[in-house]
Amino acid sequence: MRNDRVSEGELAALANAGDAEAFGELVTRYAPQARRLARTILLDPDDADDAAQDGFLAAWRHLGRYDPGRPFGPWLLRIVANAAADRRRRRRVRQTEELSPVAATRDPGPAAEADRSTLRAAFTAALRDLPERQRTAIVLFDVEGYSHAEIAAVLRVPEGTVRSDVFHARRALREPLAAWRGWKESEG
Amino acid sequence: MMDHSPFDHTPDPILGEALRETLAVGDDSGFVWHVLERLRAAEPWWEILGDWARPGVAAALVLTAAGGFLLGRVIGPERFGLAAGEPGPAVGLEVTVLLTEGGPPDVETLLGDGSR
Repeated sequence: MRNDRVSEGELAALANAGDAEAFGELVTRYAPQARRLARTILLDPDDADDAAQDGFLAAWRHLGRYDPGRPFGPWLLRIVANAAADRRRRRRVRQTEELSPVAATRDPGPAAEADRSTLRAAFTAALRDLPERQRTAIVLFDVEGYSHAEIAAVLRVPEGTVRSDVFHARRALREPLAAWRGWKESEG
Repeated sequence: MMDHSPFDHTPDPILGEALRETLAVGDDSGFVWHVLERLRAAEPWWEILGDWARPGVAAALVLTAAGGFLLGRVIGPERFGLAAGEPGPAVGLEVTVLLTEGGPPDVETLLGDGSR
């Protein structure tokens, strides 16, 4: 594996020249983010991984269009989001989406009694109820730490729309989050 | 209650942790391996042809030159209406005259039949 000090721009330039090892380093660095984003959009782990792979392959093909002066993450995640959206459209034709029994559990119960999996299920259910753009915005903001401007570039919406999406998503996740906080405090 | 207001413009670490756990994706190494395998398998046909193109063109040129030479040897000059050892048609006399004369050619030379 290459040194972490090699910049993303350099890795992208090497990969664009056909260096598969450099591209492998980029995949390693961004796999967690890409997989989480695809899962946020598709809400299905298997489909999400396929979509994230599609996204990486599309990024490899279009590396020539990447501007090394800009951060690699938002550029890549934009492609992954597109790949996930494509897969979702194909899936809609194929089948009707079904909630898993765990994800369908809505009531996390009193925080003191709720275990980790119940809380996760509550979050999953709350995320499913959010519009796709809101849940994507909140995951990119609160999990991945991207700025509103970067998220706006990924989602191709105005920055104000991202702020509004994060606000509404946070409000919708208030209940499971309160339960999660209670559980964390009880854990000490 | 939330410690973070929905209006906050800074990431909420607790919310981030909860969402990260909800979206847990498992081991990344297998995923990375699959991406790189698909990359290797998905090498497009034009890139494979491209790898062959340069040596292919060079080989075609060599074969064409060698074929032309052998054809010339087998058929011989008589097939082109020439006796062996006879030189081919002379280069136009008019052009030679035009190029070797000092002054500009006159109109008769240019538009006529070439005889002086």
